[in-house]
Amino acid sequence: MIPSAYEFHWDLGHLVFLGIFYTVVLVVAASVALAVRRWRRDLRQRRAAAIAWQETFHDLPDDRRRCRHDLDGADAGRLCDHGFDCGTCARHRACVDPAGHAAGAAVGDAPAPTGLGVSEDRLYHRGHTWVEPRADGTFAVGCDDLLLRCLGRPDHLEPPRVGSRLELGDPLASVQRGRCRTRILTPLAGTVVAVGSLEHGWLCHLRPDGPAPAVAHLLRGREAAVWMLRELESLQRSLSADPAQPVLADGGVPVDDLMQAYPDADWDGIWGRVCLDA
Amino acid sequence: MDRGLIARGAVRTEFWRFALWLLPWVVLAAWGAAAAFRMFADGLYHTNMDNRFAFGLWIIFDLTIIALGAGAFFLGFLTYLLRRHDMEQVLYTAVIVGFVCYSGALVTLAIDVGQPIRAWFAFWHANVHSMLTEVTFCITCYLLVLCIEYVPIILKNRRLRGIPSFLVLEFNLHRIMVVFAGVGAFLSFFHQGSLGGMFGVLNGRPFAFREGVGIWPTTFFLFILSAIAAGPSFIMLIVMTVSRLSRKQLVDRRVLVELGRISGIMLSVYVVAKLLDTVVWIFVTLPQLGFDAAEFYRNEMFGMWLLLLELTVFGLLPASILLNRRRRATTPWLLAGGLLTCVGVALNRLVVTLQTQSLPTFSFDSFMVYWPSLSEWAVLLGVVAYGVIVYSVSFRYLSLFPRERELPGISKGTAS
Repeated sequence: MIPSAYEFHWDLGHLVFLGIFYTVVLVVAASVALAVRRWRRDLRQRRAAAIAWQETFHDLPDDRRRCRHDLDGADAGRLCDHGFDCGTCARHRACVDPAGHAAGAAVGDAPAPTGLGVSEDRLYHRGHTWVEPRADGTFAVGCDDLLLRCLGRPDHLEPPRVGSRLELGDPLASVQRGRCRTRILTPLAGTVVAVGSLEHGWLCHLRPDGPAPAVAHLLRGREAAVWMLRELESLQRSLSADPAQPVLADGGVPVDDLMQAYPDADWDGIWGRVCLDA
Repeated sequence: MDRGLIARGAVRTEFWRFALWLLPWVVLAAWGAAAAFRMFADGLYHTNMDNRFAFGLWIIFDLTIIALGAGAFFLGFLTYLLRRHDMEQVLYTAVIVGFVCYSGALVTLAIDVGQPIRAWFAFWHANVHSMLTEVTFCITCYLLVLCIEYVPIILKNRRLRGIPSFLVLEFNLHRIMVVFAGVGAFLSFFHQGSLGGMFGVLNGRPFAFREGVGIWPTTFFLFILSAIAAGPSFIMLIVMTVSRLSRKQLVDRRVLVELGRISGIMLSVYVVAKLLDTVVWIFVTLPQLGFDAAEFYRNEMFGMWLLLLELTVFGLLPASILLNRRRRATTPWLLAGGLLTCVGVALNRLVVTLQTQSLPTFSFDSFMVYWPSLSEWAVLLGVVAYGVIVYSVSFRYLSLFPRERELPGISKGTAS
């Protein structure tokens, strides 16, 4: 409505109505403009991977948001509310020793073996990749045992390109098998200097940006072993149509190709959950 | 065929089954579109509306779906402004239902008013004396808000989310949703009220005329209350129906029960207000105007029984069901309470629209009956089909229920 409308009067009623109406229109327009401005800024600053991770983390169920100090027993039951970014987490700083190691981080204290290897030389990302420092200052990156068993023998693996710069949480590689497809997330920011394959046991070598790469978010030692056990239990629940069937606690280790062993399971969903790829 | 578009971990039926489900609705929508085209081409003479019944089936339908779509603004208000995070589980459904209801209402209204290329006259040459001007402005604005709220839900689609610019846009739109929740609540509050106020100010029609507060007759407030009561019930019914059809528990059971409780509380307030309004109308307003209430209920079609039915079977009964903790904990009672609430609102809109026009206004007039034509039904069913199609496609390809993947499926024969 505009003042030129028939029988419009500059009285209080019309002014209040017009004022409210145009205020609402302005608020809607300004909010959309603000969102568009932030959208352009975030794209310019290449924040897509960080935002994707923020949303993925927000949607994680409680049992997948366990704080590492719940895993190492220092703070039982605690859930992470920090996007697994331990480097900036005050609670994590309070829990680690002066050398920066979490309590009970030695693999010797690990829980019952799962049949899945957890090496004390490696640091583990929650997306089921590991990093291992190499003598030349680069880091080897690979898929952990649980992910390898889930992937089995994929039809196609698209590795990163040598020379590409990857941020933490960027897609490192994409894997496809049948109708299932997932992206494997980058566990550590850096530049790809060499590319391997699943058969090689590692996916790539990364050269981090500085001399002291940020690895505080990665799990190690006992906490990694406990985490692996819980992940395995979670996977087992996803695969079990019958909760009374034999479980790992009854003995045994996961087969090499779980997908082949459980062809009817929702592998697309399982891959996405294991790799944190929404 | 379309697996890549379906959210990870979400179990959906095969594409051919889904296409088969859509087919009858597409046919119905096409029939509605054909009827709408005839209206635009030939005018309203295909309808049974006339100078006496200027408001027919379409207006009753509009008033009903706008009330049922109130769940969108009310749940947005609860989630974003009152921080009821449990309601997040049904928020996306509420937004889509709101979008379907409001866009459906606007399409129906456009067919009813005719001459769509002059639709902008409603804004440019607004009738400054009409409550419908406020309704037109608010509904248009609110539909725009619902479209903006729908965009991030669409962008959450698995395939679209893989495109970085869409992902970032979705994230940033989501950040400002609290503003739209506030604006939506404000706009909805007023246009729901004005739709009721529109009848209350008809001082030439004593059946509808009401006194009130300031410029707002009591029907203004009754329409708001009834919409807020019906909105959550309608969302609850939709979630329960979709859950049953998809054989999947989509939300925590306690969320459905809570929707029922909220609906029950609001319905109780509405029933008490409606009773008071009726008593004041019978014993104060009508005698002042020189009428006796019995005069309005002499016809068989709109007899006193209808008023009693509205107040008891579709008012007190669902309110008592939904307020009772033990009853609303069981699926059949919860379903019955929600269904009666929604039907009650539809009945109220029918009575307010139709009985008001059926009753004579001059001594030489007689009671008249209106029955919609086939073309009017065609348009209505077409809009219903449009709603089912939009919601079905959204349910299949968008992640409407955040807890769906964690919750167990439903075995055959069990309720949600």
